[in-house]
Amino acid sequence: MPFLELKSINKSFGKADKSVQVLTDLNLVVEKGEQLAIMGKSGCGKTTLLNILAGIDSPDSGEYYLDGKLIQIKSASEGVRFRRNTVGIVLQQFALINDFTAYENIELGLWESGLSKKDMKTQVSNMLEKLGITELKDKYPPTLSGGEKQRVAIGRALVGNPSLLLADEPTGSLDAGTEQHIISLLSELNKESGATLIIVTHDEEVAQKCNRVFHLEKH
Amino acid sequence: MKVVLRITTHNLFKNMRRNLTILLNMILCTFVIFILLQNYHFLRKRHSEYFSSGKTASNYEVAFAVDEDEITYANDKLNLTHMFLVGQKVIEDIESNSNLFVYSFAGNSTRLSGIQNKVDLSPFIEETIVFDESSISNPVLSLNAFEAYHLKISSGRFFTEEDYNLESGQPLPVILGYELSSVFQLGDIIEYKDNEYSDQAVVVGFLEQNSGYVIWNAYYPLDRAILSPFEFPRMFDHSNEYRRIQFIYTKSDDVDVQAVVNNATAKNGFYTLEVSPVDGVQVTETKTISEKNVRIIGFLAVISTIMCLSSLSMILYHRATEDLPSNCIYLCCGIPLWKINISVVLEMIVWIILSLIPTIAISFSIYHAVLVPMWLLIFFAMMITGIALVPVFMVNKKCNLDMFIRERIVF
Repeated sequence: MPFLELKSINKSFGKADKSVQVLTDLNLVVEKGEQLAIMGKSGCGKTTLLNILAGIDSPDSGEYYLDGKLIQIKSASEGVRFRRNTVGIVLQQFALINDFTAYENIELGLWESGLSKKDMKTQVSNMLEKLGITELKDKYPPTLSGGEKQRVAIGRALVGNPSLLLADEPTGSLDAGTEQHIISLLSELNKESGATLIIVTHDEEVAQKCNRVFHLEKH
Repeated sequence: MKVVLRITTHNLFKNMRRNLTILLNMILCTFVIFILLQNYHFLRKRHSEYFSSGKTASNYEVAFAVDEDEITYANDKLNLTHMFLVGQKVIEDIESNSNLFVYSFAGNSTRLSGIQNKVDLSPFIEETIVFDESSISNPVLSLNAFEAYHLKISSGRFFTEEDYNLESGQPLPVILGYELSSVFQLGDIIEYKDNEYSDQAVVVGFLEQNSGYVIWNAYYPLDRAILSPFEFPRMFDHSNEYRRIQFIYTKSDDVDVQAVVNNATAKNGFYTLEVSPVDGVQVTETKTISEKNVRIIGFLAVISTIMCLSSLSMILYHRATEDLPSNCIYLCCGIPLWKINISVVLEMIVWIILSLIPTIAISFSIYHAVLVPMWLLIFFAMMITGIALVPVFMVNKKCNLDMFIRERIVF
């Protein structure tokens, strides 16, 4: 049984005759621990697909199975519950809270985990170490470089040990050198945790680092 | 709950300047609500229920007629003590005027202020009252009146506090004038009986010869007087009636007593107290500044409340808009929206509590009490805050992760 399976997914936006079909009869199978890159031109539905996988959006029709369970998100709160312990998200713009230190931003990924303060501290410290940013733990995002911010964002996404890690253009805001470093780090941490990694990207170099590339066509 | 508390703590301390603006706004809001509620209580109570003006005065007089039962009832049952307390503050303000002497006479809580022992009252004496040879006067004197009028005892004792708190059936202690010492002795019982009343008094002391006091610009000799803590005979049917009379003496004719009283009532948002001159001629231009003020202040408080509410709503709305990306991050991390909203409510409760402190402090410093029931003040503050929070919840509802991921909600 595949870890993730999408069956005949359809998704459109807009009403009636003005609706735009974004995803049509999409089928996708991803194995556990696989690293998949989703590529395609702008407007082909990459982010829409990512949103469906993250439980942020629901398909108009079709089925989404994760770890053998049919995922049906009917409300925003169900989506929140689904993401809580299953999905980690890394975004292009880092999405860090500027009033939180690097440590607090990573810890945020554990707030809903139910762990004790002590256990949270251990996990966050381990993650900081893995990311090589222990010395930055008390710094606030505005004082960090792009690469450092993305490491913190990756740390927050992975600290709760999610089974699925989704990254939307994770290197889009980084320079070439940092991009390579971040992708290697993401790949390495993913292998270590055993999570399934799905990266949405338009960058060939990033895609080549993954096990497989899935091309989306614009309709 | 831990998550809610963490978000609340974060919100409370993350942007002190912005939070200080919220707090100041809420302090102002609470204060105007306080004024609004205080004035509402004043307007609700009929003037005539508490106060009446009289003409019988030496120089000027303000008479308060208050039913003691009503005060007790108000204190214990309705918690409407604000009227009484503000009235006390008005009196204090009148008494503190350096151009006036105030003498207050009020049933069993008679007090004397303004007129101190050292004050020479002789300028106010215009006539000496001469009683008919057969008549005996029966002045009712307060405990401190003996000291104020330099009254001296030739034998026996002065009145004590116990004499003013007699139980039913106990004989009324009386002090007799010098001339009556030839008729009565210490411990003698004086009986009073007519068709309506019967009462007993016991002689506890005698005054020195030529004793007397000044009141209503006249000198009252006490050589042929029966002094008592209550009117003799005591009219027990009316024992609950509490009457307070305020006499105001001016130091010079130039002092406009009505203006002084008006200032005191207006300052405290109190009803007009009408003063009458000694000759009984009604003051022709009695102003109703204070009553108007109560209404104007009430109106201004409503306007201010609306302005404060709008201002608070705007600040909170802008803050919620600024916080939208942070809230989207919370949602990404699996923190539900209701926890974010509850943390905002908790934060506002903290601001409400803090905003009450200055109002309570001001009220205590002026009136020595919170004039408006606390629960009512908190209720209104919460209601205003609740209304101000509606836009916040509406903004938070817009936490759309799809928009956030597509970078349409940016930092």
